[in-house]
Amino acid sequence: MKSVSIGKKQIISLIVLVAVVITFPQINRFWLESTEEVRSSLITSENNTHYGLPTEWNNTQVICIHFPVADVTSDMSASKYVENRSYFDVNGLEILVDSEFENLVNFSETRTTGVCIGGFKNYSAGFDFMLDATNVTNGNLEVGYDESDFGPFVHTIGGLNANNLTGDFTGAYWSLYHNGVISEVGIGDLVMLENSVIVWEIATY
Amino acid sequence: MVDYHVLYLNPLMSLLLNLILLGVICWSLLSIGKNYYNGNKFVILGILAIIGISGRILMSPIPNVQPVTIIVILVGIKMGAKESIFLASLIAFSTNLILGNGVWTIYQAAAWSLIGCLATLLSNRLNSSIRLISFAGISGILFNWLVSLSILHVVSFDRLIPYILVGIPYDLLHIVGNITFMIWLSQPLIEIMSREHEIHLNFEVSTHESKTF
Repeated sequence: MKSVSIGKKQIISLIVLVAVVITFPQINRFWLESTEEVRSSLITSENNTHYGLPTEWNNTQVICIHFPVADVTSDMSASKYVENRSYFDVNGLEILVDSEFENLVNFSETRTTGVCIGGFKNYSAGFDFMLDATNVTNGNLEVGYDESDFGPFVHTIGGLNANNLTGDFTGAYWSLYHNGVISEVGIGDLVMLENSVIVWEIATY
Repeated sequence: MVDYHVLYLNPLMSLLLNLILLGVICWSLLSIGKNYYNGNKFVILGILAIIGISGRILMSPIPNVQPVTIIVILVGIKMGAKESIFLASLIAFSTNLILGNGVWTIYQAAAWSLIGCLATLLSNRLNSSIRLISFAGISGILFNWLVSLSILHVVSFDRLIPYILVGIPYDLLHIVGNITFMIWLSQPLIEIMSREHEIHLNFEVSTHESKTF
């Protein structure tokens, strides 16, 4: 058989390929930075609450619990969900999500680990929903709370008591988000919508 | 215990080793191959499958730069659509056993098959090297965008266009990779596939001639 004849085309194509491969990280970073606005504007707002969640949960009620922030130094072994993201349906069956789509599954950049339970319908009382939804994981997400004049005050989720956290901060608490924004009312007063996504995450002060 | 097998290679070194390995595989395969050609399509398909599989796995440190796309294009043109579907599916499945199997495997197989079939359809038009190279470049984008559709299993439709936008630098890699592989490999691969035609011409009256590029 004939051997490959190496001409001008071969040399030029190889040089271009090597140049593109070497400069790829810079090209990629430049591209991501310059298209950020366009990309976010292309995503329609009505689905934003369910961003990164399994599509079968669209227009259903979902609760997500995200375990702590980088500056927490406490032993986190109390919770089963600090290593990765897990998704459970209404019956407590785990929904497997391809790791290939990891960059899209994050609810936000800081919320990289935790657990979401979704697919619920027709709940109106936030606290009832929270207790029922966390119950499907057979106690792995047990909610600890104190009754106060303002309704239930959640201090522990999944074995993680916010009051016991230590790190580079004065204090920590479980904070509540409803459809992407921090909730103005406590979980006891929260009225669920049909597409409510409730997120609990540790906040510090 | 000291494990002497553990020699940590940086990514560049491991890529270099892979390229050397790939070079040895292709060179030795093509050199010994001529002793075993008997015009049997399966032998030719086997050789191409080995080049595609080892090429994709060994080139995997560089995303999207692999010879599979141009192999299915050339097979689509020179051998036929069914042959390119066979190779596309075989290579997608067997390489993903190592690179990671999932729902995207079926999309990759389908996208490569479609590119092979397109090449068969357009085989009369892809008769100059510049057209062949352009088609190789376009099929890089086509492949990436078709495989991107697999995210719709997980996210809603409005994420698709932003996702494709994010991936454009990776499309560029696929385009440049395809063009380079087409320029370097089209001649030896067409040579392998043309052997069948020569042998057929020896034994039967045939109206088709081997195409030259």
